[in-house]
Amino acid sequence: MIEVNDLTKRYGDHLAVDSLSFVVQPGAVTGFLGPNGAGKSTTMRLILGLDRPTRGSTRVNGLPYQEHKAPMREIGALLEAKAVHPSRPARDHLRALAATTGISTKRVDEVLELVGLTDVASKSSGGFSLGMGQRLGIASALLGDPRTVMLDEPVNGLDPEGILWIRNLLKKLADEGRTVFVSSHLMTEMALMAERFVVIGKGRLIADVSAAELAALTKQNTVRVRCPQASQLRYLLQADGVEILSIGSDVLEVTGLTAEQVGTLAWGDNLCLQELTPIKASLEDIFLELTHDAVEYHGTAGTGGDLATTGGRA
Amino acid sequence: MNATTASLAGSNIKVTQLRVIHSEWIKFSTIKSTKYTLGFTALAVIAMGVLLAAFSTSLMGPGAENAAADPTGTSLAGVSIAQLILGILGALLITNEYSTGMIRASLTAVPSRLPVLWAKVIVFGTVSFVVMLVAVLISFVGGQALYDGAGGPASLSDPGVFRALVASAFFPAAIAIMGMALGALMRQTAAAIGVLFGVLFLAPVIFSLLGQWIGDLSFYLPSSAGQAMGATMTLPGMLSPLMGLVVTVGWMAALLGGAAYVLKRRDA
Repeated sequence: MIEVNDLTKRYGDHLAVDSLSFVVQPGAVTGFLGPNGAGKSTTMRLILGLDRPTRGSTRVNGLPYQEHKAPMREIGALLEAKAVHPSRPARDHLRALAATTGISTKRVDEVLELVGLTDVASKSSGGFSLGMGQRLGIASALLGDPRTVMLDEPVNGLDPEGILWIRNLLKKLADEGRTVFVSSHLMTEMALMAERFVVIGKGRLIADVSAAELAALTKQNTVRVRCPQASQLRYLLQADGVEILSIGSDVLEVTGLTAEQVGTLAWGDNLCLQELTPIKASLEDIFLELTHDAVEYHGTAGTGGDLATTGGRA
Repeated sequence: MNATTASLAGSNIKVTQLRVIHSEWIKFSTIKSTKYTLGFTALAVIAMGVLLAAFSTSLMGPGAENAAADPTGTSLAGVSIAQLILGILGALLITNEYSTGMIRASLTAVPSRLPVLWAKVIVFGTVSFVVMLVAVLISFVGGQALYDGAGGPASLSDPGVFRALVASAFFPAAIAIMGMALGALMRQTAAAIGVLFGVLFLAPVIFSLLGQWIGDLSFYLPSSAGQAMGATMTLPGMLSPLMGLVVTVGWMAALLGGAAYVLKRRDA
């Protein structure tokens, strides 16, 4: 479990993290989302005690990270930036990290096997591709068989097979009851792996929700209608707050009305409907909508606050 | 992966200072260039000491006074080069962690931070001392066997000789540790090495220019304290060997204290 409480970090004039509070629960993959520069990496550095918070606190499995006797046993972390001496062989890099906590060399070989780097274990990591580097970082995160796993942009530089591997690995770790906290700026990738989402923008919390709750957050309801008398229907549906897009001669995409409303109106005017399909906004669309509002929130106070559903958690 | 792997069973999984020292030893011994540099340093010390001793007569002429008066010092001629190399290597061992990002992995594994600094100091300080001691002994024994200066070779049992040899191994190790402390304070290779150069070479020059006003203060610089510790001939005004040791340890402690404070307080 990761607890973040009123976390604030200021670098000079720049407020990187601003009164952030959320809880990451075990047993699920939680996606940590936000545009580049939203403060995701800073938050992770603060959780690991690499940076000191200006205000607020973080806890990992119930204690501030620094107070654990075997920190690697509690949390395994992969940070976005590289953290490896390029001239040191991969296996020696892991051996050195393992030695701090009394973790055996046998375990080093296990994690190398797990991430598929056994064959290149004696090669120095300087010659590794981006993807191999990520695998080495994940190997070091798993060394202590930690209860909590925290990865910053883990799919960066991985090929499709590597991405699939990460996705399955993280799901498996969550199924084993661990806390899995994964950041990304790509909603499409997160949508495939995460069950919960913590969304931040400009260092502030925007949403802390399940996938279903996230889908419900969108203001956009789009309905696809096929109707031979499309122009008549278009005329009929026109109203304030309704946006209508013609697709071909007989298909409309109507935003701002539910399928029920469109059906009822058409029936009232004896128009024939051959298709009436609610179109779900993709999580990507919702993500963009949410973070767009977050950016505006700082410019014109007041908007976007209605989207923050932080109640009941944190 | 199994939820609880056999290799991690038991409650003995925790961070200890001894384990962090082991970790730093692994780090230290798995970078080839570090080992080559140390080997080169030892060779330089031995080669310079032995060659200077062997050619002391032909270089300076029969009965050359300096060589005759200080056969031990002749064998230790390479030590000042070793100081410089070990000081730079010490600074690099720390600044490299920052430039490669390795420091984030190190401090994530040991978030209390200070054990990492102590472990680095213990590992590299000890290695430097042992390598220098071996090099200095070989240089002395080999050099004195070939020594042909007037007045004859020195022996380990001569007064002050053993102390001079140990000090000649200790002082470069102390400079190595000061280099590490400067590396931790500055975090950047160029800055750390620049300050190290300044303290070792520039400060004595500046102090001698200002000699009128600050008098004997220059004898408390690390370079002078090191000379005093390993002196085989006493120069006027110089500290006693024991005071030289005290001053050297004082410099080392002050720089390490600053390094520890910065490491503990600053964002990594």
